[in-house]
Amino acid sequence: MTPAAPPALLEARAVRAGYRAQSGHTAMVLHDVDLRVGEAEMVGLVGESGCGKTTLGNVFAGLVALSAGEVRFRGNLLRAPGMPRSRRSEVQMVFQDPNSSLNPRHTVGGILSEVLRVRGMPPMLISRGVARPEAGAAVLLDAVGLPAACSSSYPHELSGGQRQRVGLARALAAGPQLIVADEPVSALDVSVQAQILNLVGALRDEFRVAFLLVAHDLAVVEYLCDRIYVMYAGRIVEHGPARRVLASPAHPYTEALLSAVPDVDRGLTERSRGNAAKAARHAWKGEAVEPSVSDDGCPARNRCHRAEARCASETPPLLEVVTARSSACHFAAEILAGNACEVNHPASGDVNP
Amino acid sequence: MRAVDGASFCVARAEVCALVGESGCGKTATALALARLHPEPPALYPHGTVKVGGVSVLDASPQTMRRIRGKRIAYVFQEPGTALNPVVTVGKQVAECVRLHRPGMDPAGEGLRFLSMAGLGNPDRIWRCHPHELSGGMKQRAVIAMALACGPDILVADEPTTALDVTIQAQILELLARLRKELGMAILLITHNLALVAEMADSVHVMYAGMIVESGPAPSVLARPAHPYTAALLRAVPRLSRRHDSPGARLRGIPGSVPDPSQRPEWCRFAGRCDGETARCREAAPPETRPADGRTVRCWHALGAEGGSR
Repeated sequence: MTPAAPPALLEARAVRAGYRAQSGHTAMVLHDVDLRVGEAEMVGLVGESGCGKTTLGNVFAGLVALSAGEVRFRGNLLRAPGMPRSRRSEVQMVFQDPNSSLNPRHTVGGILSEVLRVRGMPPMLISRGVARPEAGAAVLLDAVGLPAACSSSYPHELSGGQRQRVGLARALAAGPQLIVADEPVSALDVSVQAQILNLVGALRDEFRVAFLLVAHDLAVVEYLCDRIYVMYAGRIVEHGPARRVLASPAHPYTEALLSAVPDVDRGLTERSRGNAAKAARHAWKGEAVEPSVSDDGCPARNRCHRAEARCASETPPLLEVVTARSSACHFAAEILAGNACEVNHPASGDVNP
Repeated sequence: MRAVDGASFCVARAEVCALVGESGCGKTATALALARLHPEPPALYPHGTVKVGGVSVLDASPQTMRRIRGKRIAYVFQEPGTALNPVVTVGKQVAECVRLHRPGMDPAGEGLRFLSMAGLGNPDRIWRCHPHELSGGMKQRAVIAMALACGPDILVADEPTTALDVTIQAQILELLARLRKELGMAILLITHNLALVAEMADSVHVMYAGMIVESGPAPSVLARPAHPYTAALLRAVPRLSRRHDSPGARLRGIPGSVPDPSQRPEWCRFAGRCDGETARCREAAPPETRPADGRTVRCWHALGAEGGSR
């Protein structure tokens, strides 16, 4: 039912990373994170602000050092404690705010051809017969759906959506195999978001680039991603195929996230049934937990709607619940069974007879 | 330049009324006009009337306006960080609202009551905090507490949850729904998120380029949009419960952008971005029509009440 997983492109094992305060105290943000991105795979990473998802993306891109664990790229060591945090062509980033991530003093053509000059012409452009950086910039602009005339524009002359297209073109210019896109559409207007999301999907298909899509919008992840990782307080609490995880979650945090996301169809259905909207929600109480707080027990227990005494003493490990799906909850199997029954499309395949 | 051009709508007591549209459509400009919060000059109100609880706002004296702002109509904005004074404790800010708007009441006691009414669990501690010590969700609750302290008839919530995480967003929306029920307070919800409209609004007004192009009961407008702009907005958002596998279910953005207020055409303002455009659309601006069930629409080719084929 699940297509064979593509060979691993990036593999993170037991990654820990944190930030040192001026007092010398280190606040650990990532706790033993395992994550895998396959060749040309679209992987979503979701979680609330402050849970560490951006830090993890930054570790991959070499912007933040890790303090334990390792990241391998095609089997070779890419990041490990003590290794120089070299920026690599293979892993590129697209940031949330294209206003602050493009140099305002350079033209779009200049921004793109500079990358091509510094990094060299990537194979995907060489195979298209491109030799000069300026010609490469034109091909990239076309690939992201911008008119050639944009080449001489400055970033401030473009709209937000056009700027984000430039951000994608700039990332592509380095010839990456993985693009870490950190909330690439959350700063854009609704009417433009759809265009950028479709572009991301098209670029994956055209250039066979894998994407790690860091997002807080579950609908965006479901729309685009093959697999999803759900992060809570610096730990992966659930992962699996995106559709299946979001159709029948196996972790209470995923349940809470799903029920918190407003949805047009659900809103209309609930109201047509006369229910007050949100009546059936799994309220996730209180405020976000600092990832640096670490003790025995489940990090989510104080906000969880299913917490029991056991959750305060035993930290639930991330374990496989069904094929290709894992959850870090003592009650993962029961939660999955309960949610799978409610799912009205049996094709999701989570119910084991 | 006309930021808002002939917008007419009515918010009833305890009603949740939504104003939706892309950035630059005039949603916030409309909302600010309700309490004349635009700086005058340069802002002008050449036509129309705004009545809040029967009092005409646009020709009211400054003294009358002071009584309307806060007491009749209060605001909660997107970024709670900028709505709070960073160097004054939350308690003092809430107490000030009580002192100004509820003379004769105990500012501290009432203030604490409003903080807990806004869902802040430990009001005594929050009272002594400065805004930077609070999370985004808590700051937004503090801002809501300040609005409640004024005792408004209508709360204008301008993208109140856009800056917040989804779990916190759900908490704030539940709070607003509860306050509306318990206090009979009307809410004008300004948002670009159609899902919020589907979940909590009674009525909705879709704005485009300074005009209301479609209005009606929220469930009916979202289930059967009559204006192509409303339909296009609905097609642009990914929905969790939809299968997007089939090519027809792919998201479609809206090409182009909202025309600048100085360059709005004489004819239909959505022409050029609309996929159902005909020659007629560039001849004259479509008048407002009333197809059915309390709905109005400005389109020469309003989609049928069955939802049309688009």
